[in-house]
Amino acid sequence: MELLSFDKYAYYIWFSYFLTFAVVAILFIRTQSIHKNVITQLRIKYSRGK
Amino acid sequence: MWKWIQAFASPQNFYRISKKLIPWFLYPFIALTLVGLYWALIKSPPDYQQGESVRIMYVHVPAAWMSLFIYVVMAVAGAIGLIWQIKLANVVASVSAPIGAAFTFLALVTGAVWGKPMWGTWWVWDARLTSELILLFLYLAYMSLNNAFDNPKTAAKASSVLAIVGLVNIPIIYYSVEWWNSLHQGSSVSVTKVSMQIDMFYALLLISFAFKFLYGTLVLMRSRDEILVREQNSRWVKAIIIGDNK
Repeated sequence: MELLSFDKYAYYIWFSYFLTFAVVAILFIRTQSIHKNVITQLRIKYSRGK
Repeated sequence: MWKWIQAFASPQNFYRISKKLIPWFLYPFIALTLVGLYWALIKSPPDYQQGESVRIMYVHVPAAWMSLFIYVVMAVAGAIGLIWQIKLANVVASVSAPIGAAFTFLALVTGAVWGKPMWGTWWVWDARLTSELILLFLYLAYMSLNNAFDNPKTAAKASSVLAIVGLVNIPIIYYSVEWWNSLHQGSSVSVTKVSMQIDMFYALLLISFAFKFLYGTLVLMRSRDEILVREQNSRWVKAIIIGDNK
């Protein structure tokens, strides 16, 4: 674990990688929520049109 | 070739083919990220001047490259949509904007986090930093304009013009460190030269490719939903939604 301690820069480095991970995760979560929303909205629309 | 492009660019065909393409982008993204993180955090050595802080470079630089790359893709797709009226091009442009904005945000914040221990400040109104911030504003303006119209055709026209005009900012960002005196360091990697240790270069390259595959995955996933919305009055969309929902 000393390998990943990164001296006095640890806070800066881990924050950067955590932020990158968070942004990537948010992009995927948002993509999934858009997908669910689109499917729900279209299902409602088509069920009304029947 | 042109026939193949036309066939692929039809929303229905793209929707069908893109589902098969997603794993071809998603799995390389995961693999490259894991190997890239190993190279970035363990294999690559500390810099002789910047010490361990150089490891921020492996997320900062690929994010900055992606912010430029996605903007160019967005503007070119916008231009194709504007000139040849290809619906898919407008879809790609519109779904690229939030992804590009996310990478630009990431480049700016990780740059600030790297700047604090190296320069002693989070931010300076330097040409490189300022032009990158303008890029973020361009992405936000594009997204606002794209959502400001009810008619997708009008929205695509207006936002594409903005994206094309904003292209002028790309060479400004790239050459800003050469054109002006800058606190930001010059490029260590170009087409003709690599002025860094080889393991550092590999880490940079691996994460850059991981980000490219991430972008591909997200564009395919988001384009599929955007197509469903834009083509919602088509029979094939209705069949998909009422049918098996794939």
